[in-house]
Amino acid sequence: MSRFPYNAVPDHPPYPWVSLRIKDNYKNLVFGPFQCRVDSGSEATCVPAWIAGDPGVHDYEEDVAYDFAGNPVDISFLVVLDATVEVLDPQGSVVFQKSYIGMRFPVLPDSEGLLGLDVLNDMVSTMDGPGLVFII
Amino acid sequence: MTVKSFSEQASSAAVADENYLAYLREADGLEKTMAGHMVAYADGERIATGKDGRELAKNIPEEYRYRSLFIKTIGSPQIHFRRPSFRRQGQ
Repeated sequence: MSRFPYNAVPDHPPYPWVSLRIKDNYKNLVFGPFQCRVDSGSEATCVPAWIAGDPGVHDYEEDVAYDFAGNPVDISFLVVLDATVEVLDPQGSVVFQKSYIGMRFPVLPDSEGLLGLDVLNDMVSTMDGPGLVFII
Repeated sequence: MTVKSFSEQASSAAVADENYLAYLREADGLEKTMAGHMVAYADGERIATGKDGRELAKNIPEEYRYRSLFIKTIGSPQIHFRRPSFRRQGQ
């Protein structure tokens, strides 16, 4: 088991997070590691914009999504045809690893990403709220 | 506020992208004949198709492998964001 202490931000509830790394095995690219908020409300794992901005040879997609109010918004995706997604513990060791084909990661303007259901559903995890720790 | 700001940025990027525009021009036809397939664009032209990511990767010409390609899954499910923002006011 690996334990991830919740992240504490002033004026907000503490929240679970992990460190994520995405490998593009087709193009031999590595994205991250970067911090991801654990978010069972997100259908897709999302990446922060800074991770997709460089090196500029990654595959991408543009599409229409819907915002919180139901309004259509344009969104960019980081596309990885042959992906390996890794979760790293606070010491940098890989504690979860899985291969995916044809992944599309929405790109968010935030500094951190989201660990969404497309990856979260492949691991056994526990959110220990009182203990303020996320366990894989 | 965050989503709207991102939308404005993304719209500008999308409008300027020749590959996205190339896809939009043939999107109706592709949705009728290749639903569920993946397609790749470069230089404003479709360069490869495949029934999934693995087949598409095989079909992309080698000279495009290390270029930034526009990849589209035909008829892919639309994303819905369920929260307004992660950012605090004033940031």
